Amino acid sequence: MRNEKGPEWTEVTILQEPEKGGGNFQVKCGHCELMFWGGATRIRGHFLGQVASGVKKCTKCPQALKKQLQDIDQAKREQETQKRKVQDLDEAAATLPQGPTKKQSTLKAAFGKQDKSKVDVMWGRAFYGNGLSFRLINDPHFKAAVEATTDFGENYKLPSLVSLRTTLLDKEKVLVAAELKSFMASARSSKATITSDGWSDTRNRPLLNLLMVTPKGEKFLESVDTSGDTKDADFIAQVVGKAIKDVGAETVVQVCMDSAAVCKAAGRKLEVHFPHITFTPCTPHCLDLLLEDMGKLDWVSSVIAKAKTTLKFITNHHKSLAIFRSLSKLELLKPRETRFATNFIMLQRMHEVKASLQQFVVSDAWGEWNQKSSHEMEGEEVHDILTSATFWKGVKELLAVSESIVCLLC
Amino acid sequence: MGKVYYAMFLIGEELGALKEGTSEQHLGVKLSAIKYEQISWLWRKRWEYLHSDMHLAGFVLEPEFQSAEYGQDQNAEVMQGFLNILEKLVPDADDQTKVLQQLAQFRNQEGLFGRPDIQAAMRAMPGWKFWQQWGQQVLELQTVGVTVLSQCSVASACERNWSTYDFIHSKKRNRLTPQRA
Repeated sequence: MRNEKGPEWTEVTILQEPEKGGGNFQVKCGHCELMFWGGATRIRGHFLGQVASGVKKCTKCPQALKKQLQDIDQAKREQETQKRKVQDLDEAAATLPQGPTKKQSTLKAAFGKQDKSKVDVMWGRAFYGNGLSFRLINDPHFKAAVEATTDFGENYKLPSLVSLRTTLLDKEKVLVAAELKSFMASARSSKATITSDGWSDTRNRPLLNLLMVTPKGEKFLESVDTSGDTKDADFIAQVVGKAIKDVGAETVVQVCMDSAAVCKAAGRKLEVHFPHITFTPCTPHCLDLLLEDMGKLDWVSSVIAKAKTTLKFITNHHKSLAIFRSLSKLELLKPRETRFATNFIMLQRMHEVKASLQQFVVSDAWGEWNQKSSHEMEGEEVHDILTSATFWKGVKELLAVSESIVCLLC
Repeated sequence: MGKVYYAMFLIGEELGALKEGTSEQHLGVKLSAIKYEQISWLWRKRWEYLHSDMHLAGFVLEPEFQSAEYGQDQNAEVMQGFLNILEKLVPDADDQTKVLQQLAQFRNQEGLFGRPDIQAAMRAMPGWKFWQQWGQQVLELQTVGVTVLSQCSVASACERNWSTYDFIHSKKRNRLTPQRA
């Protein structure tokens, strides 16, 4: 029985039906008027210009038709491969030796003989040789790809380098774009926040990036190179305003930026321009500024400065660091420039290892080393700081004050 | 969103406790009056700076903060903030009245909101999810609840985005202009 005829049949006129008992049609191409014998496969071969089909290539085949037929062709080929695979398996199963127990041996057991451990070793080498991250093995996309490969069977060939960087990449782009479309639809119903932040990249260009955030996820909108621009309120309001318009003003209900004064002023401007949008300063940034404000108080800054001096001294000399490490299980933590809160985290750790630090400055090893070294003065200073009750009282007070704030930040 | 307001409030409470020397976490620490004044002044200043109506509206709408211990009925400030946001999100006056009526329903625990299992859900679920799941009784309020509570109050997504730029390797990075990113 014949199946329903595919779209390739509408593009040709049938001149002669096959004789009884099957065979080929004689057809005439509707585009280039070539006459030939064949079935669906040969007709497709004609339009797609497949040499293997043995038919001359159609000279006037329209692109749309070509595309359509290509898809069909691909699907047919996959079907064939599948069929062949099942056949192969069946044949292989039939030739398996039957054990004396007459227990039917499973396919898995028969093919598992190809030693899994060997394959594992090769996977391992592929990972180690390329410095791939170990957790890639748990990555859902990676797992899915490997599973699909084993399902496909032994005929699978890896995509070529060229297709990986061209066609496959294009396909992926289309897929992601489709996902983004549904994401945008959900954002329109739940509304979104536009967030923005500035940064200097490794070439020291001042950049500004814009993201759209919803509970479902974030979407990167744009990054702007602001080299040479004055980053005043008007400028920022203009950049963010453009992003809001691009997304669709009705989708956005909030703008969240650093709490720097210009950003706040820009936020006010945006609130006037889009009455339904509220500006909210970034909470962690604001809390960090609060800690920074606190750091400017005299009693706070003196404690922090002392702590830093100590830290620098201990970590800058490997001898002292070695002595300290022999006394404490925990490392000292160094503060970073961009986040003021790290100063408080440093104090926290120092307080945790207070006993070790104090033991350190009174230890014989330290005394011996410090006397011989050229920085005896500094060493004395560190000794005084670490044994001073006022310093530790200050540390304790500061920790008490900052803990709830740092806790909220982390 | 609403949690920020409450967290800042807690920090204030903690500072007060430190002044009195009654902080449970930091026994034996008692700040001198001057130090307390300095710190709490800074805290107040920054808090005013951070203040946005969104935080206040979030506090009002967050189901977790409905019980009497959070004292919302005596807090004129948060209600004002909520009204400001309401005006922005719901321009129509009739709809605004509806939302306010529905808020009263919610607060008085009418209908669904009176059930103990739903009240347990209020405390356990993220606010916007709660409104999405259980706000059918108060449709207009539901929309406002989901909208306000599902917004973020941090720009950390942007910071994470920068770290992607960091990973891009030198040769390609030099070619990667912001226009192409």
